[in-house]
Amino acid sequence: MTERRESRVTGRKIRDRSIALVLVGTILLLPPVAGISHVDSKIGGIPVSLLYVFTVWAFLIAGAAALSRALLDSQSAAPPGDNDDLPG
Amino acid sequence: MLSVNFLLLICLTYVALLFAVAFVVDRNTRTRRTQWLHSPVIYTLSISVYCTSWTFYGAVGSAARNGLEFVTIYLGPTLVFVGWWWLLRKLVRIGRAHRITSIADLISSRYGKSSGLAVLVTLIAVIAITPYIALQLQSVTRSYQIISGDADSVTAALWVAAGMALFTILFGTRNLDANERHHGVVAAIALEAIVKLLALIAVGIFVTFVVADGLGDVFSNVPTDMVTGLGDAFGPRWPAPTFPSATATIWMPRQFPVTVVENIEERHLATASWLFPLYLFGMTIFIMPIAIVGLKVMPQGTNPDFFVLTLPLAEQRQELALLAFLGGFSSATSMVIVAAIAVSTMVSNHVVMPIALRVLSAGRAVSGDVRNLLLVSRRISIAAILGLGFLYFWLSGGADSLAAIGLIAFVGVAQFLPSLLGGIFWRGATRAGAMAGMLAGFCLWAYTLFLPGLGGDFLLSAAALTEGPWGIAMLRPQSLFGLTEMDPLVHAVVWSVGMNTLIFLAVSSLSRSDALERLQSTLFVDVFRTTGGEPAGVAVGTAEVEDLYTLAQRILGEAPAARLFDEMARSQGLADGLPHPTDIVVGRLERELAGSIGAASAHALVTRIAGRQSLGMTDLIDIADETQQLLETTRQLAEKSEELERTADQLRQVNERLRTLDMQKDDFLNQVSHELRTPMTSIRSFSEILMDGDALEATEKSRFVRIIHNETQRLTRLLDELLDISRLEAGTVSVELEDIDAADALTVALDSVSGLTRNAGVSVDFPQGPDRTLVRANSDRLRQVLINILSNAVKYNTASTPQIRIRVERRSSDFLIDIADNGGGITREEAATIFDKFTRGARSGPEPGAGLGLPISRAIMRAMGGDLTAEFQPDGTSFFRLRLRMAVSDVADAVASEHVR
Repeated sequence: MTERRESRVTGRKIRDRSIALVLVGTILLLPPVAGISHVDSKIGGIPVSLLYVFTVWAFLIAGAAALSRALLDSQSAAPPGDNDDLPG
Repeated sequence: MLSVNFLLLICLTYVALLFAVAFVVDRNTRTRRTQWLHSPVIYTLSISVYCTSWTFYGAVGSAARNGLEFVTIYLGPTLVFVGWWWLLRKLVRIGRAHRITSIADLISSRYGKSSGLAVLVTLIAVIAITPYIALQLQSVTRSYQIISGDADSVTAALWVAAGMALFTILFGTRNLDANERHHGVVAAIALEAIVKLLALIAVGIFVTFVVADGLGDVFSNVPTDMVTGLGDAFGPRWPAPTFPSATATIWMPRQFPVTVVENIEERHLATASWLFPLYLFGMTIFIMPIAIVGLKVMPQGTNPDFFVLTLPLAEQRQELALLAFLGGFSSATSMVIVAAIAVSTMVSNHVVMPIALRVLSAGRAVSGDVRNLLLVSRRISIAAILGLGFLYFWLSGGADSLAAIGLIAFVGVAQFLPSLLGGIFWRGATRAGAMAGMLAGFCLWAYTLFLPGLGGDFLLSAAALTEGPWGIAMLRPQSLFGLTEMDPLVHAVVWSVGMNTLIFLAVSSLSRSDALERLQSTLFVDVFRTTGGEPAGVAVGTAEVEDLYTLAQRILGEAPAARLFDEMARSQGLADGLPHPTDIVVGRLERELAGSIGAASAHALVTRIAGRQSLGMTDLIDIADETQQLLETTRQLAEKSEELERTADQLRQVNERLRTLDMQKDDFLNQVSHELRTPMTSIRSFSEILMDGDALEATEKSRFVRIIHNETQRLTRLLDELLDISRLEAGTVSVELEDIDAADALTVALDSVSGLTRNAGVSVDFPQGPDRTLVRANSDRLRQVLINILSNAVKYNTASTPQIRIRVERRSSDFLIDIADNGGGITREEAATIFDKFTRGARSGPEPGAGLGLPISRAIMRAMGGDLTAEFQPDGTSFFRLRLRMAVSDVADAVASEHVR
């Protein structure tokens, strides 16, 4: 019982994090924040703006991978279908 | 250059390979040996049908023209998939619960299975997909021309369109699956996904590390503008493609089937949430280097859209060019197959079916083979859709850049967004709102983006484009109502999606939804809270189960229909024959049919046969509402009555107690008056004698006076006792405490009753207890209590050899005196009342007594900080226990001695 509740709690936490991840990604990839990379210089021979977009992207993928694994773990601990009441 | 025949051979071989894969998988699905096919990786690869030849060729062109902007098309989907928990999961759940087959099905089903809405969505999808199909035709044709050197583009495009139509028909409409799932197609698409990814990465590595000398070399001497795009990178145009691309990941007619309909397990979404963005990442990582190297190396005026092909050719690497060609071919074919199947399904389910229903079935039963009709209509639709694509290619002259064409389609399907998001998150969204919003959005999209995209050759003249129709400047398609100096794409998104949303919201709030729609909206919005897919309708007319069976046979095919009806019959406990046409059966059949022909058509068909319409849904909802309210009221009532019962119970208990007390009070008064009356009577009679009796002798007189005196004393004692107990209980009298020896007090008390014990022949067993123990007590009062208890034990002992046992004990800071006798003790019931005033035990018999002794004794003990209780031994015999507090000094001793022990 406690195990199940714990897994629910962690499940909710992971979901919160995944929402945070999307928001952070959206903010970083859209103007005006994305504009900070609009500078006339290169790092390691690669233009900063290109490097910026692809780095944020890679970070999003890594985050999503970690979260999806954690989420699947927490879900396999809990019975399926008890994770449903997220509005929106 | 490669020979035309060789290229054709390669293409045909590749197509044959895809066919073989699809065929083998389809056959194995039936024998269920394809676990690997149900893996999240295959699912993700099939979603990557998102990367069409627009990505394969067009992204490089876009990067060469506008710099980094090309990446927005892939950032939108990335965000949607990373946030899958919000939207995708709900869509998949809804799609599964309601057997949704297409985007039109989803929208029509949500808004009360409206067939009008389904037709509108289908229409928008067909028109929006047309430029996209044209884009694929154009890219395959161009790549073919580039690699073979053939010149006639229109003929080539026609052949490509015809080939693709044939290919799609063979692939997608061989059979009619109950769930509209195509395992074979999915497998082939997954294979194509791998081919295009490998091809693009191979070209990327070749260009970056062979043509150029690593990334540093690629970007050397490159102005930042070339990378970020001219002017305002990350400016207002930046989100414009991001937003439609995000929505296109789901709504695009080709995306919805692979993402939602073909989803086998919700868990696969979790994997796709990072794997699909990773795939996109892999597809785009080399786009920028290829674009820049192409701009540097290739001669001026080369179409940057085909750098992926022309760069290897220019470097004399024909095998790489061929691989690139195959990659582009894969991208195009996978998109065309999925999109054409999806749109043809919509057309056949939502346009052809309703018409056929009307035309073919004048009577109750459905005549004609629906199944065949469906397949034929799908095949014709596929051909028609590719024909439209070719027409668009022809009209637009294929002059535009690939990315621009793709974006037109993206914004077109973005018109579904308000109705869909509103539909699954907002219960108040109505059919009228969805209809009005989509119509407005669609018209604005067509006017501001689609028609201008044809370059003034169709409906809108070139003059109308620049000057406005009839010269009205306000109506210029690309600066509508004076919204000038805006990028045409941003302009179109703002107008079409903006107006669509506003009108959708406004009309939804103003209009009312009908009953079925309200029901569907609840089922969609609360999909995670409802378990079943469909509410059971009420079949008022009696459905002819044979008719239903015939219908199922025609749509599902004979074997699946037989299986379905057998299963339903078995679940009703029937050994053979057809099941009874209950609501469950009818509802199940409707769901199964919805998997093949869409919710609206299935609903119409089943309703026609089962006559489920005779009781309006409004009535049903009203009934449901009333029942719900009734249940709620009943529940509340039950709660209240339960509470009332509890209160009544408490009252009853209190009442009982009061009555007991009242009886005790009456008894008490009885007792008191009796006790007072006896001495009073003798006092009165003797004093009367004395008053009249002058003749009495002196000795007699004095005897009478003594009697009066004794009786008065008895009365006084009784009143004193009553006073005493009330004071003790009220705490108004304080008992002076001192340290006294408990054993001394016992001995004195025993001495006081020794006359009594000797007369009654009672033996007293008093073993010497622990050493001298000092207790906090008042010696007189303690003696009073002890005498009371001991005399009781003597007086009420009826045993033949009466005996009293006394035991003393130290227990932590308490000193206990247990007094037991062998006279039968008291029962547990008596123990509860024995300390009440004027209560006398069953043993008291004829002996006089006011019943105040024990209550007074207990009051005294409590006043001294101790207690008097009736205790029971395990064998049920009772004894009295006096508890006294030990003197402070002795407590320390006792604790110390206990430690030693």
